Amino acid sequence: MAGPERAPETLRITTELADLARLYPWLDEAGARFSLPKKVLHAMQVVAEEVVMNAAMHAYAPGSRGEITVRVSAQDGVAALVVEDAGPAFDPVAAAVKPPAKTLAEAKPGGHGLRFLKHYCQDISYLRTHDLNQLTLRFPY
Amino acid sequence: MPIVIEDLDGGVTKVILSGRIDIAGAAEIDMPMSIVGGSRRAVVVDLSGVDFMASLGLRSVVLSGKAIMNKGGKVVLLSPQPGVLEVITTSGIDELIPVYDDLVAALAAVSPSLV
Repeated sequence: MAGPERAPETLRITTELADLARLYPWLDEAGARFSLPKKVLHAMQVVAEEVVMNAAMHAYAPGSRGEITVRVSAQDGVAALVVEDAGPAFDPVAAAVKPPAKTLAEAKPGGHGLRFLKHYCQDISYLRTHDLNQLTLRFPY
Repeated sequence: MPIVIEDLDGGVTKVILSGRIDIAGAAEIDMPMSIVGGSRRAVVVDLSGVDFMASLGLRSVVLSGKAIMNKGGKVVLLSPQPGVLEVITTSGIDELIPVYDDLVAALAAVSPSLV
């Protein structure tokens, strides 16, 4: 379903907890602006939480305040979520999916990131550009 | 508050989560869930009122569940909405913490003496 191209919605946040919490209402607004189906918006929120929190926890030195940029766009039945951080180069696409724990005693909190990305996204691509990690995730609808 | 803790007959605790367990929601439930993990042995976590939960909410549930199971207790999840169930099954957590759709069955799973 072809349609006119709209400019992407952009959110710039820091790694401060209160700032990170702005992600969800902003995604709700971006989803409404692009008329994304509820299921696609839900998938985008699950993945965005994973990627943004991963950047907040690992891209910058502990105690420092880094910046994360999130962009949402949609055209021709595909929504795209782009997340950028200025941390050291890290390509999550190249990482192996960890096997799930066999018992709760073995289970470690978190570690579901790549599994979520591969389940919810049609396409995942990583680019190191201008000293930024840029992860692009696409959701068909 | 997205968490209510009810102590039922037979030593069973029902933890009722609700709303969005996002960054802010997870921050609110972390401490109460930690207390449940440290002090209760038969726990049903009712997810029927949760609209959204992803990694951060799961983390809190898993940490609490680990603490309960490490002390010989039992924990189950009850009635997650479809979107939340998809997150649970994608993560594989349903293989570690059983998911029930029926309260009676969930109660029986954590405390067989109740049925």
